[in-house]
Amino acid sequence: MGLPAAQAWTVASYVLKQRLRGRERYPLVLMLEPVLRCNLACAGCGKIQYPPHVLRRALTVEQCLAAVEECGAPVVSIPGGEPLLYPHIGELVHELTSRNKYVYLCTNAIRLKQKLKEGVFEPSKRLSFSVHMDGLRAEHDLSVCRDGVYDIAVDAIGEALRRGFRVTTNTTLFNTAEPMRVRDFFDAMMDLGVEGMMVSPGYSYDAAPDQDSFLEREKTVELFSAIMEGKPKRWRFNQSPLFLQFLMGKRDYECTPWGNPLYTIFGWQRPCYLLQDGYAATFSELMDDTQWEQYGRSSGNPSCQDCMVHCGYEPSAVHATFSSWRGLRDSAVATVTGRL
Amino acid sequence: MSASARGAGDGGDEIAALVERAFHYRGDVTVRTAAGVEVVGYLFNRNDRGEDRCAQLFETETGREVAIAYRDIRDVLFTGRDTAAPRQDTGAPGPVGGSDPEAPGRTATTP
Repeated sequence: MGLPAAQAWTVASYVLKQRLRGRERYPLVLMLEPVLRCNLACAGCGKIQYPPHVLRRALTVEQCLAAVEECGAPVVSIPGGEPLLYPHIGELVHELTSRNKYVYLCTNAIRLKQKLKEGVFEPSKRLSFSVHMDGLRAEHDLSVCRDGVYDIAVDAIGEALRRGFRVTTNTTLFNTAEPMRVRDFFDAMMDLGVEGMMVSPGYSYDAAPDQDSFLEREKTVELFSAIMEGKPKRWRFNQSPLFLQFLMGKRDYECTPWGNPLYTIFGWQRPCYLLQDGYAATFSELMDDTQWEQYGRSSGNPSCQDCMVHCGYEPSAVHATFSSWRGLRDSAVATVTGRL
Repeated sequence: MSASARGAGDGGDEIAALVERAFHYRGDVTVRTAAGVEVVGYLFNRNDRGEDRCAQLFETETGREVAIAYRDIRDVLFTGRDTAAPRQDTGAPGPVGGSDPEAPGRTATTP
């Protein structure tokens, strides 16, 4: 798979430490949203529908760093909104990498080339631009509701790679996805030279403009099986192979909603990155006071029944990897052979 | 702008239900208090357990974060546009500025 050895070791040793300490619940990736505003308005996104005065708000760098310290996760993902609209993004990334955090800066890449030319970022093994790419040109531009964005993103990816940055892609698939086109898209991304890809089914946000394209669970399994079965070894994924097998229906996991906690301008979001059932003032309040038994598929919560999204199930896959020798072996075999 | 959802101002359950609805509403609301004050803002959170039940808002004009105890709330009116209301142009090219209120050519009232 596409995860560098040093990063894999950092994550593995962190997970093992948590298990040795007997922590039942621990965060793996902090999702940090310093701004909610975005320069796109994608049909499947329910993250940006707020009044203008809310969209103008931003966390301070100090608030971000305090959240990172409080959470303690070894990986920080910066989604949004569009984080390149955050005025202090360079400073924030610098502070995070200098604290030995692995940072995924999730961007639509519209402003990436400009920011690179301005010298806002320095290449680091701890920084990866995770560029939002939902498919080949036609599919991606349709997904983000604007023509030309695919070409802008491809151009920015090339520029980032030329400058020595780590670049991954993140892809959200809906029920409109055609397996062969997705396979062609994965080929195209590997041809660009990205380090690895991340893929997930979309979540059915109540606030998203397009309510007709979200995948049901069976459809998700059907789609991912068609895409991933017999995948070429050259496809590298920057995520757990067990999670991909879960999406293909080869494994069954329960959700780990505390695995990728979200800190945003409203506070610590309960219970997860996708559902908004309230906000806690502190990370410990989130972990201690959230009624976790009310979430996940087995809880019967209707909002969780069709969800197979990475932010809930990738931590489950990582947990499974380190829970048994079999999990470790299966993960290692899939990583080495490239077979899912 | 949507019309008011009447909040009565007596039963705690009724106020709690109104605050809950406002929490899931993606537009500004106006909270009327027992002291006759109107607070206009985005209700982003509520603490609906225990004796210190309160609603938290970002005030529209000042950006200030305020907390109002349930016992002080008499009514909640849904006075701002619901930004999550279904739009008719799904699939069509999106606005150039996306949701960025600072984007060139956009006004403060068109997210």
